[in-house]
Amino acid sequence: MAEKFDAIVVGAGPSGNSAAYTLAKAGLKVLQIERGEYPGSKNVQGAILYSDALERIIPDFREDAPLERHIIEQRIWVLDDKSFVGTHYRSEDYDKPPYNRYTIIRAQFDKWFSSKVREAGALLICETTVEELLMDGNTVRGVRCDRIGGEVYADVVILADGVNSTLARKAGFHGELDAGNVALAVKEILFMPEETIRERFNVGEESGVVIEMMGTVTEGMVGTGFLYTNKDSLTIGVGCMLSDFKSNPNRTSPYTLLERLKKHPSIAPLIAGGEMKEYCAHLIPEGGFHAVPTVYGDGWLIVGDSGGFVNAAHREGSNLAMTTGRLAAETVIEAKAAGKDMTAKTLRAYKDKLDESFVMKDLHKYRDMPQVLHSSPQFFSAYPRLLNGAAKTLFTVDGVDKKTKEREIFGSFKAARRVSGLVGDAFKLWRAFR
Amino acid sequence: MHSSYGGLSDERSAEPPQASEHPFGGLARSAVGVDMNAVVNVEEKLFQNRYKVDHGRPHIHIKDAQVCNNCESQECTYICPAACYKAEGNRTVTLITDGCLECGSCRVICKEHANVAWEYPRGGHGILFKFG
Repeated sequence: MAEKFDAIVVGAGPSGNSAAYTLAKAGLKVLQIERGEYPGSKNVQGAILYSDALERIIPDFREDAPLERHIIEQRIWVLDDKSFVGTHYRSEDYDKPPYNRYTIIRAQFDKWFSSKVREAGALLICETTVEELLMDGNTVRGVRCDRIGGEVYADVVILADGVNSTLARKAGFHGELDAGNVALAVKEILFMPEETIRERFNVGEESGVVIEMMGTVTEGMVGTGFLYTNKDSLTIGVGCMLSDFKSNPNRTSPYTLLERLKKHPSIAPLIAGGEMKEYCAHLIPEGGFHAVPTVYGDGWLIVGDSGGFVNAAHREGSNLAMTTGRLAAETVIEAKAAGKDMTAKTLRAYKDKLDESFVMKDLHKYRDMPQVLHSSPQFFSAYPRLLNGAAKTLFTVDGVDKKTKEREIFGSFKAARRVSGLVGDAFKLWRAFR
Repeated sequence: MHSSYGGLSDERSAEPPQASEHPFGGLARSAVGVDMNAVVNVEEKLFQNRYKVDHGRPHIHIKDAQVCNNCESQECTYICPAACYKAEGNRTVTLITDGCLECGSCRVICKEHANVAWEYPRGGHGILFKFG
């Protein structure tokens, strides 16, 4: 099949679907190739859908997209082994349409998104793995698939092939991922009756809660846990930097962390009785600004996780994926309209669009975050213990006067980090977040 | 046609019998002494998943077994979230990819030795996430 397309999109996750949809909608001849049995069958996410990024692509997505619950309450918990200190933010405003974000189940959501892509006119081929890019010197001319005679050509290939970015690596566009730039996350989906979820989380029929967690559960490794409410299931997971898994002297497995999180006394009652129906693992590119590779060249563009577009500080990824997919497609549409060849010079416009968007602005803002966290394990072990210890001291009524309790709390912080350490840590965090 | 994780017991039966109460061989053979990881039955988790195993065509290979033998840390044997890599008593590392979740961690942590030949399974094969 020596057929030629305007564009080939490799992958049918949020970035690939956004790119293919935008291209097809503009009338371009698009081939999308997905290795899974159906779009979504290889994809893993927490998963939170941020409305804004999708609204800019499919404004009326709420009419038929499979959405679980809109989020009305965000909880952030700092755990030690027995307790947590937390902040909750809940607002009636989040319970009024149009909703800002939703929990989703990716296998269902991606299938839906893909149906929109096909309605827009793109040709989708599933159960097909792209083995390599077809190169002519430095220029990408097409792809080779694992089907017989599977060479397909296009003016431009958009790589939406996920965090492992195998095609760009094989082509030498960038090197192997660094363990310090990716997190390994594992999660389970636990089913239970809808009314149990409503009661346990104090939510209505369609509203939900997200809990983001950090603390001793990750043994000082840079990482977080999460618990999300779906319609009739909960998603619970934990992820840590892969480099920290490597250097952890306890040699703890990711599934051991997950099991420990599930048994935590503050979490166990929330998930009790849940029927586990799937266990997933996935890498998340968390290297941020400095880890984003070159994302365009002669005849190619990289979008989504494949380009490391994740804002780890804010747990955002799918919205960056959709936005980069859309911007890549718009770049191609404009180039085609202007009758330009898809050279690196032409496609540089994609990088300019990224720089002007929230994508690179946010990644730039948090550019030092990965390094700061990596060099500060105290944020993931010492501080959670100190914080929970302080709360216990403060809230336990035992005849000790409050002044003495205050001294005890300050003493515990000073003993653990010294005053200089406390000031230094505060400065580090301020620098990373400012 | 789509087998669950249980379908791999045929392939395992070619190996020597293992002293384990778990149906698919336990994790208790880890390189370290008392093993917290062994308390968690990851096979039970994987049993819930749906796979279409590409029989006889594993998508990941250990390039040179000797490199693993000489590897001090053998991190793949506890980091792999599907416990595909096992540390045998004699410093050998064995790999069975049937339960693979296709995350890529093994390849990334072995960057320094580059001893993991890692490809995606053939189209349509491997893990099939029902929920993802």
